[in-house]
Amino acid sequence: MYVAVKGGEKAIKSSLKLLENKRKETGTKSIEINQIKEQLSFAVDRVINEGSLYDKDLSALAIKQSQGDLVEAIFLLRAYRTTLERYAYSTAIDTSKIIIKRRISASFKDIPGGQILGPTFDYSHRLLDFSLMKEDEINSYENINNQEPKNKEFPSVIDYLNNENLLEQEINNLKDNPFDVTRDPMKFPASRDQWMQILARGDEGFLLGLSYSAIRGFGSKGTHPFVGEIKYGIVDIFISPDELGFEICIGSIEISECQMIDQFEGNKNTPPQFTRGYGLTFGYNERKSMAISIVDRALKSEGYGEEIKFPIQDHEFVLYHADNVEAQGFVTHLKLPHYVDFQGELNLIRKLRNEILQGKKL
Amino acid sequence: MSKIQRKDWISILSKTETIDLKNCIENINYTKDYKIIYGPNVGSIMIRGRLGGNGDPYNLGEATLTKCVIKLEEGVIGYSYHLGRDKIRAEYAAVLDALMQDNNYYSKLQSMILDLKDKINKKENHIINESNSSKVDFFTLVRGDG
Repeated sequence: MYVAVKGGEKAIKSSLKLLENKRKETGTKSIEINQIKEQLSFAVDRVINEGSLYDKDLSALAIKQSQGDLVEAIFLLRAYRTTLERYAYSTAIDTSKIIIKRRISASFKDIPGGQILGPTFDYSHRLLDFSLMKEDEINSYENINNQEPKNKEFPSVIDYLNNENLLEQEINNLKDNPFDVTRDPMKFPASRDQWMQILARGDEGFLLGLSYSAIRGFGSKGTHPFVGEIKYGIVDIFISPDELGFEICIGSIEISECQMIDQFEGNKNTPPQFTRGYGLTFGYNERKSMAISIVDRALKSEGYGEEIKFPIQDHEFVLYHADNVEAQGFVTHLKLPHYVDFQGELNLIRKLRNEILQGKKL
Repeated sequence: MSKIQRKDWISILSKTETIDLKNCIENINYTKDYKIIYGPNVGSIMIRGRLGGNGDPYNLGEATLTKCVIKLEEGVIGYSYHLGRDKIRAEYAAVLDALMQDNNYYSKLQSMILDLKDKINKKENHIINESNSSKVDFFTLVRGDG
């Protein structure tokens, strides 16, 4: 237990000053928010997801303020989020109407619209580029081609399997008010709307580790999932304000989506078929959207009547430990003064030892 | 030229940069006063996805949203809701929404709004064309002698 302490104001003030000084030890140029947004875009996108607030400017600011400690930046964004009045809920995003930046399938080679690599590290050699050590100016890219493209449509790849009923169908229960972790208490077993929200704001490292455990054999079937489709691009966001009485577009955001296909051996009611895991994130966050899709499938295990044996299938284990703001809060609270608490433990151990060393039993 | 629907011009305004919105208002020499009824204020919107991509809605996460409501001297009310935190942009957009509802101003603004739409389309085309430049054909190699 933590017991409150008083005092130390001067030391704290000085400590905050030291922290600020750490950012400017040798007086290098201050990084501009736009530089962070463009040149550290993956960090920015991670922070908007786990901070659960799509605002790339504020994300970049949080990264600057936290001096690159992304978990701290996520904490800052979460704290800011709680100060905002919520105006509306969007119409659910239609990911089939996407302005595509990347789209691949590892299951089907020839897909309408084609496989589009987009900006990816996948085929880079992972060699340090020493030229960046002394890069002076960044010349903006100016090869504009705004002709009408031959194709703008990218139909969902997994619909192929749907045609033969080989793939599990999404069931529409038409729930009006999906679970909202910012307002509703956690409940178990969790519903899928609950876990999908928590996974979207969950720690990327934790989810990546969990999904890795599943495909190494600590998962529902221990089998190899297939990427049905991965997409990254821009989608419009719509709301229907009461005062207008019709739906309007309020701008657009970047998203990453992953459709994962997994086996299912079937049961009394259902013949063998493919099941699906789904991952959706803000921004360009392909690795995390893949991890979410694997965790999503594992959390569905109970619904398929599969045996629950591994951490990734356990709703409480996954959902209570995925949030890095909560996790870091609890782990790092241990460094706060526990003097009274520890004194108690100390007395107890001394007493026990004395009793044993003097040959006395309680 | 068919009339632009309100829904469509609101959508166009939501994707237009501050400077372009400002230019529209300046180009028609609108200098009268308008009354701000609400905002411009920054709040949030909960963005929803669909389970499995096409199932039930769920809460994905929030985004910042700026809302502004204004009233023209003529009595017309204009609204704007914009992702992000640009209050000036939201105010210009609310003014333009009101002006577009007035037939007199509409006729002056129509072609400018269509130009903005064209600009948005071109930007989107550019992104898609860039993406398409990285389209690949994977060859599946047959294993063994087959």
